[in-house]
Amino acid sequence: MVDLTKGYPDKGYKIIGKPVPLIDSRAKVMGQALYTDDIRLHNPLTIKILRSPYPSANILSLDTKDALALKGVKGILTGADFKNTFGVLTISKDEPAIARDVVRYEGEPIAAVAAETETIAEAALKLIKVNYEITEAVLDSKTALKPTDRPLHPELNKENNLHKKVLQEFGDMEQGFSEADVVIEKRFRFASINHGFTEPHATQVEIDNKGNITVYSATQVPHYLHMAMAEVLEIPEHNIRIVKPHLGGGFGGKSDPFPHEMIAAKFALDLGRNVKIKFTREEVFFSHHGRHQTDLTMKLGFSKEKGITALGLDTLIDGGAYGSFGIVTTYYNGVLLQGPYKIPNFRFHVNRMYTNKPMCGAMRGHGGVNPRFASEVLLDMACAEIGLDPAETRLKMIHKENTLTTNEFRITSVGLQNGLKEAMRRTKWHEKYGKLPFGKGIGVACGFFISGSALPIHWNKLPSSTVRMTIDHDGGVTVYSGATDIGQGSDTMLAQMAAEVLGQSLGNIKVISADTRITPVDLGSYSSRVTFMAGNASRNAAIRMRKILVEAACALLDIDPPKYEKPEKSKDFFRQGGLKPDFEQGFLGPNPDYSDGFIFEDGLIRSENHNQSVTFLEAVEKALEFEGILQTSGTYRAPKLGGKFKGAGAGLSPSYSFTAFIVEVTVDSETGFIKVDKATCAHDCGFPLNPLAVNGQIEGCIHMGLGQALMEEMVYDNGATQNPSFLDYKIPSAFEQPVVDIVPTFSDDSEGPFGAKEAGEGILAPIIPAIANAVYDAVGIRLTQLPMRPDRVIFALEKAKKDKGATS
Amino acid sequence: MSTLLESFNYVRPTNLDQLNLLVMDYITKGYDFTFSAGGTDIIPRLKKQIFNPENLISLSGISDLKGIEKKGEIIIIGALTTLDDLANHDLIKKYFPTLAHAAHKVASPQIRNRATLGGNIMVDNRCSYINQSSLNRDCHAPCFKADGDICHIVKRAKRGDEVLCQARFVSDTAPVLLLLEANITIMGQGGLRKIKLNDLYLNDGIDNRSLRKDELITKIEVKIPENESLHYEKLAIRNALDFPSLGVAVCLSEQNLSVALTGLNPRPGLFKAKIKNYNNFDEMVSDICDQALAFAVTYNQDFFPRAYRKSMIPVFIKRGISNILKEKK
Repeated sequence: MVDLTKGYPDKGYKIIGKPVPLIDSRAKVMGQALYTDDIRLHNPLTIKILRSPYPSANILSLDTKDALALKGVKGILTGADFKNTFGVLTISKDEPAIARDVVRYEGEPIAAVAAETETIAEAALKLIKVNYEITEAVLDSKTALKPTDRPLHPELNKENNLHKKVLQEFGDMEQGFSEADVVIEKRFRFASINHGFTEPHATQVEIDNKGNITVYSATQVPHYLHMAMAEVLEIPEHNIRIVKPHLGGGFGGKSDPFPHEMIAAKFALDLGRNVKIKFTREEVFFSHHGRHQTDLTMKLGFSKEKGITALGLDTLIDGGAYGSFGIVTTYYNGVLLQGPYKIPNFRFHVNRMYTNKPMCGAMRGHGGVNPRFASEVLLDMACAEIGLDPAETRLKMIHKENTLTTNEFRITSVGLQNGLKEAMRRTKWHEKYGKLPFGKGIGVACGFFISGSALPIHWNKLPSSTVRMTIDHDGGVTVYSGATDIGQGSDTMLAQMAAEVLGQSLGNIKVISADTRITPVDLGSYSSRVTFMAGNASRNAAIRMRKILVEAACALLDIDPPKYEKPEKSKDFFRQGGLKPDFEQGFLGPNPDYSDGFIFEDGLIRSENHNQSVTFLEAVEKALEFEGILQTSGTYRAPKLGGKFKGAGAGLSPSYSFTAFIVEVTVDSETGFIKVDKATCAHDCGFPLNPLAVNGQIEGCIHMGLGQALMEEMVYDNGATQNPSFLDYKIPSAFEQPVVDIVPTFSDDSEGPFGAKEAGEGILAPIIPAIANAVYDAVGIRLTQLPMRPDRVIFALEKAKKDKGATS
Repeated sequence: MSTLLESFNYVRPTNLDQLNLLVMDYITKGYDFTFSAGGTDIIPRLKKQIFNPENLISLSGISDLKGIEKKGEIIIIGALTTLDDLANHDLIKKYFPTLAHAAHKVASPQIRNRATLGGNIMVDNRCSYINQSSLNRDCHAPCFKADGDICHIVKRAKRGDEVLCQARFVSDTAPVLLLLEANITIMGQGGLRKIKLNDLYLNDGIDNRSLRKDELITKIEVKIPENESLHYEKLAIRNALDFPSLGVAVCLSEQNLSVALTGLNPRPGLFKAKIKNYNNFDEMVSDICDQALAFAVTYNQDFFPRAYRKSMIPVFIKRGISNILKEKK
């Protein structure tokens, strides 16, 4: 076995930093883990949704009489049954549970049937008569910019289909470009892509005789679903309990409240029956919520001495029919370019358009992936033009620790420089770059990502994450967290926090997560926030527990308990973590130093000064004498961050991750096939809590990035999804996965729990431009359209040949 | 859209006599029926409600139709031999490594464990408009193959056209078998008949096989080649789980150069040239490329655009030849 801790500093932790299998992995591989659709409720009705075959239409009439008359059909819902629309963002609640009067995309729910069996429900769908008036569809974002009398969302009172426009400018662009040695402008195009998670959407609803519902759903955001459902169904939140069972992949595709969840809950309430619904893969593609189709023009000013002098971009993103996370996506298309390099003069203009297509939303690397491709390709072009080494150039430009970006992001820890240097050494970069034979190439690209959005979606003053912790009479520890394990391993991470602080084995920690009746609020699994925020909350709950146990141990040993003095507030804006915990406050602080003169290990609590110990269990029993219950809570709050300008909140994060990729490719110049031979990754996730999980994320990001780079795209014809299956929507197979080399990369983040930052999303973006830059090194072409399909490679090669012929 | 199959009557005879009686009975009664071998092509089409037979006769219980044997210079392959068994069989690996390779290029291990050789040479033609969910098909007007009056890829097509439907031929194994001049034995109510594999295929996306409703393939016979060398190359964006966007099989002997194409037209292409003089070999290669290009009718009904697929035909033919020559050295 490879030692995965090699290359990382030894901080003397017992559980943290060790490669541990995810705590639910055994149940999953044994087929014992219950996913939403595996749950067996008593005698449920099956729900099926009738979907629109047209991307744009008016519903003139809808006749459900015959369907309702079918034996076994218990109810039918239509748009008229839902008054309130919803959306994950408070500022764009524009989606109805079922289309009402107007159809805005092919596949939109028109009606829903609940019946005793799936067969009856399907038969009933065929009996529903809908009279559509087909209307002209807006099928691309350019057309959507044109003035129209019939916008998709007339409630916005706009003369076209613009959903959100963001324009921000920092510094002086003209000045910046005038300081540049080279100015390059290029147009890029990106297809929309789908998350491709394994488990299709599914929801089951259980109802009791008092009208309380328990909603089991494959969701990344139980808390947002809870709120949206209460609003749509017009019942109090306490009548709704959201439970997330095991979940088979999200990647942002389950981070919205969904129509089928509203439909299922409404049926359960109306009919007083348990209900279930699951999507086919086609329905997953019809509802989509994937990465936005993007057209962007980017202009880079670059100086040999100063590095990047200015960067500007104009971007049009195709949002589809509804808002989803789109407003955030619109901002992220710009602000996520603020790292990993300093950009003194920066301007971005992004328009998100409504079109008659399935909506787009959040997807791994949210909004930052496509502009990252453009900027890293332009940077590579600038280096090539000036004759600079693109890896050395990047190395020089990476943010230094403890700096502010031009748009006032606080950059704290940065450990990428060493990682990139090591990646260059391992790949023999200097021996290969520009020196490989035609068809073989090596390329580099870097990226950067938030470790959780500092601001909540719904403005409130509550902590970003709260964790409850209990200890049983026998010493078993239970962590209760709203954080949503979607396969990324957050349950394991929460358990690791408790195990380390309380000196317990991982097996002694139980995690109950994502159940709104039992677990405190966590905002959900999105924006790579869970490790940083819920991790800190779990750690803080454990520290409070530790204090109780230490005090109990002291009582048993008849010694004075340690004094917990109020810590001095950090004066360093960039390092607010690692102080002594502030037990007088609800929030102990980020990543507090919990050393207290006691050692928790081998089932003992030992005083270092007195060299006396009690067993963990004795301390638990003693503590229980006082309270009868051993329970603590821990929270996390992001520090006050950001500038004062409009939109300053977008992209703010307590910390940022940094990534570099060096990719080696073989390009077949006759067929245009790009084969990625090797991907060497350096990802600064602060201190890796679980190298096995981090490496899994890296390998997954490479595979997912490979898909967007080489083959994945949503294909639409007249608004109809043409490839709604895993046969026709091309996700790379295992054959395409390159050799992966992961360079141990780390930094000292004072505020992340045990120094950790995100490792789930930031890795994805730079693999794609690294491939493109390697293709340039291999065959001398610049690809500006994703996916980089073989036919596009051939087209570019032929064009390059022609251009060369024309100039020589 | 459905996760369920429409209901149909499923029957599974366990020997050829039972099968014949059953088919005779169905024909007499005028029942609608279809055969299923491994089911890997039929079940997805049933789920998508592309067709809804009243009776599905599964052939999977008829062991007489399985297995590979050598009789003199002939290798006889039972039509129900799975692609996995085919790809890993010693006789096939020894005498027809290219056929083993082509079989191995089909889909994925799970599918190859069920899919049969007979099924692969019978695999229905595909088009991005017909092989869709019923919702997607509802979004477009029904095409000819769905008993409609329009073709979405040849907009001007009309009933009465020579080639009504352009659904593509997508078998990976057929081009290799065509170059090996395979014969197939067909069993029907009229008894057995033996035809050249090439005569099985018709140039229309809807009626693309020359079998009658009651007929099925029982075995495939291939003569052990004397001096022929073959090569098969498949164009697909990924190395598994894809039908060929283009497949090119090349066969080179001292006297002949022949090429078979899949993934393009409604029927496979087959071209031959006699090698008279190795001095003008290049000329002959370019001639056979021209023939293939003239045959190839490509439309935008695949992951790759038509022009690219067409442009890869000569590339693949030349690669096939040079690979064979390389191996011979």
